[in-house]
Amino acid sequence: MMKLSYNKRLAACLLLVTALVLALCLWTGWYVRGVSADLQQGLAGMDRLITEAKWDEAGRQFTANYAAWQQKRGVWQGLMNHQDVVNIDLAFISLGAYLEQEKAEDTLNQLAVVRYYLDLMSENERLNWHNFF
Amino acid sequence: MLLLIIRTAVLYLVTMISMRAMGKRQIGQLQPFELVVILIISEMATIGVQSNGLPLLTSLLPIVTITVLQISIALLNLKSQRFRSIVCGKPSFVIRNGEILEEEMRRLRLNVNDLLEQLRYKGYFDPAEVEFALMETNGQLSVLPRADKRPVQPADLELNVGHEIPAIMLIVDGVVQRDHLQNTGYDEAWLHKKLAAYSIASPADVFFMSVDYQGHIFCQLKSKGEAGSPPPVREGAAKTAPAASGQGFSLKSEGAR
Repeated sequence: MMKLSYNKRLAACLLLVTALVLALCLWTGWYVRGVSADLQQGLAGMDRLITEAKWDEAGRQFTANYAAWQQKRGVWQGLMNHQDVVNIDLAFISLGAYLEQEKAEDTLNQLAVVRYYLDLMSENERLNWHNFF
Repeated sequence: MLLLIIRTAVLYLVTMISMRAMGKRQIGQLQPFELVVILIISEMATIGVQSNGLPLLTSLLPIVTITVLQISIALLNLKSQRFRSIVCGKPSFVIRNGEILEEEMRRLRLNVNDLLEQLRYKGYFDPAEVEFALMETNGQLSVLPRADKRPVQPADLELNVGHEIPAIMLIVDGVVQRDHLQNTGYDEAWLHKKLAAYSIASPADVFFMSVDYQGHIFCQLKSKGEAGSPPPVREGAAKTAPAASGQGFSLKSEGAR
């Protein structure tokens, strides 16, 4: 088998590390956007349920979505600023509390906050000039 | 708190590996871009240690990226002279043929006091003693004194001083340096015989022992309590240096010259 020179082996290692780092970065973006989209999807239709005062149904949808978030938050914490993860946690907890109290206006407001945070996380991972600067 | 210690240890290890991967030049003579690399890496590591709220990856990824970039630039520097001159710059004469080059000093933003200071560091208190002075790319000044002002060399006196090799460590802190011993061409039996001749029971009692290419031995025993260590043993070249042994570097063969 042909033996590569030291510099060629080093260059190969550098390419490998670069590929791994890029793969990790691309995966991070893809994963965060994917989870965010799934959670947004899970929250879809909740506004209607709240407006129509179908609190039980809205509560079930929220519980399922919150459980999905709880499953993902560990990985998110390894990839993103912990404060951002805490913000999403707080938004979910507040939303749960308003749902229990069955306050339509506050619940809708809090639902918008959860959506905003999820969108923000997804947008922050996007490769564009806005995020670059 | 335990988390902080673990994060610090991880970042310390990654920084050490990264600096080690970049090579020895990083530690010694820094080029401007190498200084930048060290500053950024240290800052990245500090952020990771101080900010528990940030994932460790926010420090690790930039450190890995900078290391990869730095090694890539070093490789390109090896391959391309043009690239090297862009990244590292070129050495420039500040004194040529005994004349201080004012224009070049202005370009380097180097004042006369800086130049005189650097010359003094090199042991030249009078610029008139200097024929050439070069500002290297790492900011060090290399000086060639005038021929009539430089120290006398053995070649000037037509002295044949032969071939010289630094002394080799045989025992360090009681541990026999087997690789070094093998390089000298001697073996452990010879070492033990030598120690016995100095009334030393075991290599473990020796603080430091070396032999030079002429066979001169220096041996110092370990200190024993408050009494301090006994005076070191110094022995001249062995009159009967053994013959050269096979390939590679051998003190035995050097001593026999």
